[in-house]
Amino acid sequence: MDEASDEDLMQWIARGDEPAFRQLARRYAARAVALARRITGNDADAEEVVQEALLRVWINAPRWRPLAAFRTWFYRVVVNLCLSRRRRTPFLPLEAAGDPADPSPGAGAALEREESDRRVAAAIAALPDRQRAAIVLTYQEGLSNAETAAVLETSVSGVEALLVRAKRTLRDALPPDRNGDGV
Amino acid sequence: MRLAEFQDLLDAYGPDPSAWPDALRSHAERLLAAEPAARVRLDASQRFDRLIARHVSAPTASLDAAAGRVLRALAGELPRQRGRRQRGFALSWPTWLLQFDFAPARLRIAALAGVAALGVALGLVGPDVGGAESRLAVGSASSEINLAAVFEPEPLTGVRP
Repeated sequence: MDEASDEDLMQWIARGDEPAFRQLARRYAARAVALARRITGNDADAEEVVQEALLRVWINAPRWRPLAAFRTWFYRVVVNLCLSRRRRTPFLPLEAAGDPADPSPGAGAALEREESDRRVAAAIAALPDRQRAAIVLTYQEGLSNAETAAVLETSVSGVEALLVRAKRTLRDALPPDRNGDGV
Repeated sequence: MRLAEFQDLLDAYGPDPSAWPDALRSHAERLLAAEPAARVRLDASQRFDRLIARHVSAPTASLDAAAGRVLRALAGELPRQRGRRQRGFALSWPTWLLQFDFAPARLRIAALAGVAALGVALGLVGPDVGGAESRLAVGSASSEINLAAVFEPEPLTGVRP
């Protein structure tokens, strides 16, 4: 069963095969939590979203039709749940709390890098929801623009516009340093 | 292609030319060959992409633990599936009918319900044609008597006309 494709597993799940469902859940849980964390900015919300999304997979499997890749359909469920939850609760960037400062002597570079990461996190967190979702799907999941369009239920040109606006905003928020690099 | 369009291409598809649409790649490559500023933009886009990718794809804390909690929450009894036919029911219907996807019919059902509601509304408040119908009904009732007489069998022979 480990080598079975997502679509094969879905066919089995549609017939009520619980081990197939648990296999598919194991395959996607961590990646979906990572995706949901980036979009919601909240660990607890992310776990609830993924749990709900996986339950929807189980419940709706008999009605699922393999018109698109399972991954695209599943990420669409996760992203939609994240976005609807985001409308109800304010965004709290994952890195907003920060980490305690490292007192060791050679920690300067690490601190600088942490500061850089924090600024990037804050800039991404400040993006509008769908722009942030497009960035996360593109960079974290490595989806093509066409796949991202399918997840966000928009056109490829719509995704292009989201990415162009998002990167323009990020460039403005992350001015180049003395070496010409962002942040 | 102008420099601003090239920047949009970089933002929409990234700095890897293999990801650029075929229709734009040759224009972009001509601009890169002719315009040093385009090369600068490409280099900056590569650095920018690396920065974003490094941040977004970096594993967040305790991802495995979080995934484990999600899986444990799903370890119990699962809810009933929607749209799954019971065995006895499935045996009593032809397979092709069970495989028919009725989901897109929702709109048609809604339209049918709307038309039915419109019909009821028109029947209640629409033009009154009931009077003519009832007159016809009365006429029919009276003519039934005559027709009954016409189709009455012969009293002696029993032969119907």
